[in-house]
Amino acid sequence: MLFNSYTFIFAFLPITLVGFYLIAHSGHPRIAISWLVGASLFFYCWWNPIYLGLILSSVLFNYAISLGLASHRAGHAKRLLAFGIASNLGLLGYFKYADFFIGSANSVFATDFALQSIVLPLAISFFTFQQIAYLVDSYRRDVPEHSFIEYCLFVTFFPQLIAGPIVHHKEMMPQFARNVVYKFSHENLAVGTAIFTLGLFKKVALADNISFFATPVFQAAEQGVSLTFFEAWAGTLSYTFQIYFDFSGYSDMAIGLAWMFGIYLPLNFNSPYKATNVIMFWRRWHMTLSRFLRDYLYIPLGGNRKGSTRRYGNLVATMLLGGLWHGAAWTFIAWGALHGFYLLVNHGWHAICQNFQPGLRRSSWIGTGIARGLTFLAISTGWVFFRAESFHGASSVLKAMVGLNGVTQGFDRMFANNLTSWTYGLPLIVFLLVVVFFAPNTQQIIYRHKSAPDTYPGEITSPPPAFFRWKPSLAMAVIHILIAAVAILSVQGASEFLYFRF
Amino acid sequence: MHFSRYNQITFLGVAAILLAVSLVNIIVDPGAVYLRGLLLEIRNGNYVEAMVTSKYGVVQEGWNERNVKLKLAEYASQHDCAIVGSSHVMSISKLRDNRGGLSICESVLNLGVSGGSIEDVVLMMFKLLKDGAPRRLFIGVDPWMFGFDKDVQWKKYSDLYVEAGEYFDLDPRPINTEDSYRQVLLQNLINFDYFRESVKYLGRKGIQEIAAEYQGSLVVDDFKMAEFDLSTGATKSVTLADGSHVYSSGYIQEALAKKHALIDNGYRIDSEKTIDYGAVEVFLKVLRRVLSNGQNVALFLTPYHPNVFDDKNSVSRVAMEDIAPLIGKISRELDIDVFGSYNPDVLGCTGDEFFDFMHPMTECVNGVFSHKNATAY
Repeated sequence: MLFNSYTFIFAFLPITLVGFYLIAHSGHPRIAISWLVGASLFFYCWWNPIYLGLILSSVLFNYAISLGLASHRAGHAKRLLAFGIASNLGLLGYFKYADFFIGSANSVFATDFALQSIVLPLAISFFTFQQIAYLVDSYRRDVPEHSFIEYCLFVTFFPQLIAGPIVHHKEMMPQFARNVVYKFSHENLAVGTAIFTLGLFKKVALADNISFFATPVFQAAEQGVSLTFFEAWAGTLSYTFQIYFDFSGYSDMAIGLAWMFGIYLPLNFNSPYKATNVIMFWRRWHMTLSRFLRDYLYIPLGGNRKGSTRRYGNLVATMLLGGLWHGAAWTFIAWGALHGFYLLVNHGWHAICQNFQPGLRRSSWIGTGIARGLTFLAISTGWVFFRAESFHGASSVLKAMVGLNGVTQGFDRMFANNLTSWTYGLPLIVFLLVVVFFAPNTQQIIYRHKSAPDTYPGEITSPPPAFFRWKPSLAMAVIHILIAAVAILSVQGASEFLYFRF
Repeated sequence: MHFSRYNQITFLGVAAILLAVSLVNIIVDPGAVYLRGLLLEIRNGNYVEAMVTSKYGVVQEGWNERNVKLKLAEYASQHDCAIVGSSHVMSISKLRDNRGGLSICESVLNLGVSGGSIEDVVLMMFKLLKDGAPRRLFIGVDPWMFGFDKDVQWKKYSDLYVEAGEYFDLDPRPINTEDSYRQVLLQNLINFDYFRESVKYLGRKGIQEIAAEYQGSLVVDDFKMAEFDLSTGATKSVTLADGSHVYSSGYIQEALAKKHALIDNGYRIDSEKTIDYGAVEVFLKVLRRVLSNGQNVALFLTPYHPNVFDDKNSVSRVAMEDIAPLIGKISRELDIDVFGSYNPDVLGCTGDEFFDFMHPMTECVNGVFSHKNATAY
């Protein structure tokens, strides 16, 4: 079930919310938790009931391992941890990467192993990572004892189950013990619906609409169409905005939904395109993933504790695996490698600056603007690999972007392939450019009601201008109503009943 | 303001807007699936009568295509040939046969509908056979033909489909496994695109004309078009007396100016599963029943734009590659002809003879009748 579906908005959410508070109000918090777990599993298996067994087995297995880790001595515990992590990665590897590895082996060794055509179970990347973190912390004796039902809710809680944020047990489990969670709050409902509405709007009104301008360009590139310079850039920028509004919109919806239940999820996006370098970008983009990769991959690999060469190696390895986590294709690995390279350059640049001008920290607005622009261009270029279905498609777009197909073809030839209606697309691209560079993000808008745990403490500090600060007022209610109405009306795409569109 | 008050206002406000949108969609109803649709169904016969007796056709806008074509099927016995399928075949017309490709038919009844899929073929063929089928029947086979539920609109005719299923001896297929038609209608009530079309429709027609429709004050002649040039189209799209479609002048001009997408978008094709053998079975049973009735039936393939066909990796081309051998097999096993090809070169259609990446212009598509059993589809 998707958050942006009528079934979810008009049936699942109200029933789950009302049921939760009715049970909680009757003085049975554990039953209320069970209700949420049941609802979350129903939410999960709506997609495909067959995989209910998979997630339940995974939860049971990891909970049992965590109990074992808590009761075993160090030597045994280490082996148990290795077994637990290997099992989780094995499950992920089988479902997500088996065909990728078989296909790659077939290409490299000219073999003909049959692809398994395995259907990727929803959310497996997310619940696997969350549970690996839980096991590692259990091994480190950094996890207090939790009941099975609390653990179930930590893993399956429906707002974060499908696409994150990747939550950490330390920021979730203590919340389940707070009495205030089980008391209905108009404030939580209002703030939660406000965040959810913004997220829904970002997803269905912005991301889905800009996708109409990204998709044809990348499709055409795959089909060997010679893109013009402007088409390639317009398509790439469109995708740059599509992926941001899509993913951050979904994260906002997740945060808003959890908020309605009085549970605060960590922030996942912090205006990433305002970053002035790639290091900062990764502290602002999919923050819970980068935090996970830092804490459970980069630092265990040695982080920056073993010299600069090892540090850079660790960075690249982390980004390569981060790329692979996003999808089982070489283009994702290339995207990860490119970001690894960006980070090397960025750290190298910082090192040079420190050597030549130690202590220089202040920067002019021009410098900030240039840094932001360059970072944005680098990130946008990287998305080409992320979006393209093949290296052929990616190189086709990149070639056009650097002008190898010509740059100045005359005004009437700028969009010569007529891939889509750029009359609507270009103003939308410009509008979204202004939004990502200058508008406050969701967390800033609800600044007054900041309760979500900071993924990177202290980074969201600046309140937006008063006009953008959400508060319960008539004016805000009217804006909320309009945004919600447009979002809900846009949930379903073009109607098939518009029969005159062939 | 207190949070409880804020919540009340926002929930009521959103509900009020959704209600207002729903009411506009129900009343204006550009796709004729709600209240206006009910009214039009009552008057569908009048509209179709106006169509078949018209000299320059009737305005298509505002009428439910499937309702109209199912009613039009009742006129089948007046024609020598009939064709069913999707929008790819909708412009086929004896009235516009510039190339003489349609010489094998005295007249052609065009029952193509937008997004026409396997279920539409079942429904139309059932109506044709029940109402006195013409001597020759053509079935447009698109790359998405061998899959179920490619277009939800057939579900409106679920009862008729069940009847057709018995007639063709189809395996009982659960009709409501996907969203039922009622569910789809309900969701469509608060669809922004539908609302936008409602507003546009209201703007074009005006409140008075829509009110006139509701009052039933329009007469048969009000639907008929005045004389216009078929090659350049009229202001609005038109359905001619034989059921064929004439695009609006604006659409034709945009096509000539190459403003429509000429890149494949994999329309209705499931690239993971281009052939559902359940759908193939349904298709075969329909064909066998038609043949056992003594009718002459042939398959009809319309070309795709060279941009799409020449790209062996495009979703549509891959699907064509998958189903072409199947079409050949069906043709051989049942000894039926295959007219046309997906390949524009086989038919001599150039890139300029397409409205977009998959809709050939009338001249090109009429030419298909001259190309029987091409070696390559």
